[in-house]
Amino acid sequence: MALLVVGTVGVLAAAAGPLYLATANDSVLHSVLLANPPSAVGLTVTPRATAGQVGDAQAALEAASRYRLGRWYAPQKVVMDAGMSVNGASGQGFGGDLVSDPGACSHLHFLQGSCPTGPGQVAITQRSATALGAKIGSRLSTSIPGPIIYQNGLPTQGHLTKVVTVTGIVAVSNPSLPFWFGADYFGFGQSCPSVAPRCLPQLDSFFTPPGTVAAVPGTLGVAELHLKVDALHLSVLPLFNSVVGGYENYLNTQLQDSVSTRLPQLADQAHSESQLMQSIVLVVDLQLVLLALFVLFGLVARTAEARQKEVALARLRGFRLSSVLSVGLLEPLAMLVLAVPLGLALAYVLMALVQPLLLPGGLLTFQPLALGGSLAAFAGGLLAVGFGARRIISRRLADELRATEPKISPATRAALDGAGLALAVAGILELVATGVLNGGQPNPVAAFAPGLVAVAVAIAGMRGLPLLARLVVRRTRNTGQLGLGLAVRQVVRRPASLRQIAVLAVATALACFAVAGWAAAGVNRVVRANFTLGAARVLTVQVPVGVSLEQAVDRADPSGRYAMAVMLSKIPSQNLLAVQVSRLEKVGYWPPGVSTVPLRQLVNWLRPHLRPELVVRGSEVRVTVTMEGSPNPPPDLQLELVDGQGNPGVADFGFVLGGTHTYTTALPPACLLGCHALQLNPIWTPTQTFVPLQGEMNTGPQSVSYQLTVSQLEQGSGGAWGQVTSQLGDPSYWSGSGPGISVSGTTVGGQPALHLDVKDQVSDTSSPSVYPGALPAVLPGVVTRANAVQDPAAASVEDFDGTSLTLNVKYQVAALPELGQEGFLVDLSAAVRAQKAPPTLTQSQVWLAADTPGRVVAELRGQGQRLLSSRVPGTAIAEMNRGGLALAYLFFLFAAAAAAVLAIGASVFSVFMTSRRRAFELAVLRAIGLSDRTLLGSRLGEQLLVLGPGVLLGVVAGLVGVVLALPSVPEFSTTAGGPPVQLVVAPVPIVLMVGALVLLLAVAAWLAAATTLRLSSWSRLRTEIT
Amino acid sequence: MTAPSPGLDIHFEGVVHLYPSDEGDVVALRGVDLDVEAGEEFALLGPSGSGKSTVLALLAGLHRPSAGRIRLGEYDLGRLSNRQLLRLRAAEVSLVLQDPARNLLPYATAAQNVEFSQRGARARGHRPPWGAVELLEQLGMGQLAHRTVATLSGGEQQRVAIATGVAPAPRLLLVDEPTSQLDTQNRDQVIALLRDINQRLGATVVSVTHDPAVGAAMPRTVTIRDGRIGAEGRRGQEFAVVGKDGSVQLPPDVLDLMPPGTLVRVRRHATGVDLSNSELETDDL
Repeated sequence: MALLVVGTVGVLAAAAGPLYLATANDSVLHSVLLANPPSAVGLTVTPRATAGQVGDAQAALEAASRYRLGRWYAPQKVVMDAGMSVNGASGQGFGGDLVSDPGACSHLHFLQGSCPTGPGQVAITQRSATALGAKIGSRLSTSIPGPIIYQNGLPTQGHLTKVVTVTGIVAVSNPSLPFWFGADYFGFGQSCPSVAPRCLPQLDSFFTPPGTVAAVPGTLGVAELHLKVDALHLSVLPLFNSVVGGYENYLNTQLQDSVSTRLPQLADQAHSESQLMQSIVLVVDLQLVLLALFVLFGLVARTAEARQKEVALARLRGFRLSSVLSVGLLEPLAMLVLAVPLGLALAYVLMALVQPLLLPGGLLTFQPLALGGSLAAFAGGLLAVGFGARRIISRRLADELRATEPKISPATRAALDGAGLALAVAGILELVATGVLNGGQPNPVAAFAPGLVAVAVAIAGMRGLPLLARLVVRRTRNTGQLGLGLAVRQVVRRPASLRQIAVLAVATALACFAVAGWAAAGVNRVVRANFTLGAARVLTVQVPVGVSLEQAVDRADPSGRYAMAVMLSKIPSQNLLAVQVSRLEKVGYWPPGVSTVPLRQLVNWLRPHLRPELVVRGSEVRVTVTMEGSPNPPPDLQLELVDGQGNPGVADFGFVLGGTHTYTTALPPACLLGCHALQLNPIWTPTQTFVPLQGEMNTGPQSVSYQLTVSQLEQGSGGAWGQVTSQLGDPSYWSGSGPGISVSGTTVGGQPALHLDVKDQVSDTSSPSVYPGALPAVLPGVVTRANAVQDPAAASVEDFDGTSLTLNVKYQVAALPELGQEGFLVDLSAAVRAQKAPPTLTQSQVWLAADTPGRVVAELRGQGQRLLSSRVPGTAIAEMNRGGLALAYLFFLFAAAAAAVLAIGASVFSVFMTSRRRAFELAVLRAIGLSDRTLLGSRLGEQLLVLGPGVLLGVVAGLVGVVLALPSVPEFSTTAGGPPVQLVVAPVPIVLMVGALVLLLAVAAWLAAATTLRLSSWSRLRTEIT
Repeated sequence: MTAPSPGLDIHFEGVVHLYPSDEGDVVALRGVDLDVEAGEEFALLGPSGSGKSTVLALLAGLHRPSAGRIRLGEYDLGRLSNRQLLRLRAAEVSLVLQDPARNLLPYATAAQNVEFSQRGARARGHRPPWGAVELLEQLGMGQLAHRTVATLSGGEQQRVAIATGVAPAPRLLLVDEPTSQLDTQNRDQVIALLRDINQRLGATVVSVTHDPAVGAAMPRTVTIRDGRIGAEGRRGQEFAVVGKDGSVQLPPDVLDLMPPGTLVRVRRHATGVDLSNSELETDDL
């Protein structure tokens, strides 16, 4: 029965790998697909035709039906969208879209009215209704694109007026539902791009039946095919690719439609993840199969040995050879044969139970490889049966009758052990020599290392243990420790159970490695997810026009402990992350190892120590300037300004004349509320005049030198003038930002003045600025203490407004939150101060600490910040946990558990087999007066002397394996974009695992010892003697 | 119980047997000559290590003689292949090992053990003339037939063990130490059983024993000493045996008169020779 159980577990373990792999592959595919928006995984068919798009989109859907895409894509619909403008009750104009999206009504929450069913009916959101002053039954006059008209011979978009009736007022619960296919129908309040010729405040889209917009010439129609992720499995992927490829080809060639989908790239991503997982799982499963094979071999051999008496009798009674073999081997063979279907069935049942929990989206199907794996394990048993048959055939009957145990000669044993040790060591050396274990490249083969180390250590342990026991034997002589003495003497005799050391050591090493790796991987996933996100919670916000995000966060969280304003721009090679550095320590997540210096030091460096802004407030500004030198042409002096809403402006004082003069100019109207000055630019442009008669350019001087002294800067409003706090005498406030210009302080009439010495000015601008010339920045890169402080580098990056920003990179870090290994981290205040225009293509975020009170977010909302999304690391962790590498580790854990079960099973089996054999010896010892306690102690001691070192050696081998192999396991070596991997061996999971293993083995040993004592009764002695 | 076939006669001619060992070969038999008639019942006696169990093992075909020739009826054992030896043991030669536990499956009943012993013969087309229970009943062990062996007493186990030897109806029954570890009553029962088997089955029965009671109960005994036939007893009388080379092993009880190395004076007379210690004769003179 024990053989059946262990055989079944062995087959189960061997079959589980391929089953897991196939199921996990599907799971990886699904997790990759589900991690992306529906519009990325689905098909969006956009007709190329400028007219008749709706018809083409319908044709695309009809073609999809012919290709039977309904198997994988549902729903399939044609969505129509017509841009419109509409006037509210107050006459205010708004922009928006008239959208026909079949099925939309079932995803809208109707606050009033009902779903529009007829042409000209619409459902609008509550906030749009409020903005428009509309209610149910209101008739709204919309202007929508009409046919192209020709004005002065040029084609121009015409417009139609369409009156629509509001039949429903709705709210949308979740605009990111897959149904909406990523469309931004709910952009209420969004400002339109400044480049838009006619910028109107945006309303949410109006939902209307197709009849309203289908016939409108300017309506855009697209066919949306939503992917049914659950219906897509790896097994059908080839068919899927073929069918969808044919469909896309048809659309491209026959309908000239364009198809957009990221499915092929995502499938590739899933495939590469699966490949890595597959490599790891196969390496792990191979080790498990080998272990199962070894265990089965041992069990079958022991079972066959237990049949020695029957075999001897059969031979004595002249049984045919086939009958003798059947007497000796039929039972283990039958158990083995039974174990194959049982193990396979259990593997399927186990996977069916595990799949919904751990492998969502996976499809459990028959896998020939699973059968192969179980047959491989079965082969181990068959091999043992073969050896048993050979022994039965070759062994002399007289020896058989004497019931002597077949002994391997010491030389043979040494040769076998030596060969095993040499193979294991050679395997490890090969892994080291080929660079598999150097941690530089991810290599799943590294997962072989713990098994190889365990084999080497186990063989050494098996050889060494009897030698150690021999030393202990001497110490137990002439002492009262009879139980221990008996136990170590048995170990010295090299009992057959000594081979359990190997099984236990390998199983424990695998379990130790798996648990350590799994724990470390789990910690790293959490660290990575937190770091990648940046904080415990990240809100993406829409900042109202004219509102400073920094100030909003300062007001919402005056303590600086919970919230941090962040701006992010992602432009290839110029990614910029600007944070409120003073809050970074409290709010941001910065794990150890990201930087070689403490975060506090980085923060101190990044903080730009900005001087107060130079604010000009009024309708006019005037400046008193003395120029020495006579540049030709003279420089044009301009004060570069930014108003409160970030809009740029210029106060142009005109050409500067020699001598001292006061120049007055108007300020932009917004400066009545205050503008901050960025730069005082003496702009000089070389003269270039084309002389037609000569056919060449008449050029003047190409560079000039002069000196300017700015002695007064005043602002005026309503005829009253006042000084601008300009710190003209402080050259550190006015730092020169261009080549050839030096700034110094001076005095004019006892008043501080700014002196600019311009030498060989060649470009058109060379200006002193009131913000630091180069912003302190941190750049991801190789973290070394050496270059962290000695190799400052300057870089240039695009600021949020698109202008160039000079950076001073002093520290390098391993990676940056949100940006990974590409980008720069700067202080938000400095970056904003350097802006010369409103930010574009910028994402505004608020990072929140884990214990942020709800009032902070409420306060942000109260200040008009619109929360677009909220992200927590848990989402990323869940995604990573469903990734191929995490699933591979999960399998490793499963394999380790299976190996432990195998080892425990084999040990229990061996212990009980030994117990039966030892019963007679114990009966004799009992008969001569040894106490039960001594005998129990001797048996228990013997088991623990064998099993304990097995576990101990396994732990040692496992930890060595962790050190050797973990850095090369793909999950750890792939660190791109994340913080450095922390290969910290978590002691608690290992201790728990080893503790559980030891406890189970101790219980088995105690039970075996007690059973042996029970078997070693007087009757046993009588039976053996008589 | 009826005799299915006549017993096998046994002929040993100068049989030598060596056991190889790491310290050099151990000589177990040193030129044994022995003739046993078909259907005869006799006991091999001798001290431990004298070679009597080796004789039994050679008869069972477990060993092959290092030298000499062993003939069982029409079979020359030295010339039989392993397969033929298996066939011989299946139906014609049966060995009951010392210690009944080694002959029996402890978890099976007595009848099942008997059936197990018959499987070899049946598989080779020899149909034993009795069923398991029938045999046990005929041997007076019917009440034990369905009892598990482990629950039987030592004497019962020994008798069942002999029954398993008889089960295939062999022509030669070899029994090793059938009465060791048995009390007097059980010993007598076993001796009676062996005699009963010999008489009713007609098989040749060879018992190896160091139990004098068994020897005394047998019509013929052969004593082996140091690998040689030392003496032969018939009907209670002990005789020295003259070997083919003319050698005679003296009984141990006269060795005090003629210890090894003694110069023996041989005097011939009408019915044989007298042996006397020449040194003692001198002293007498």
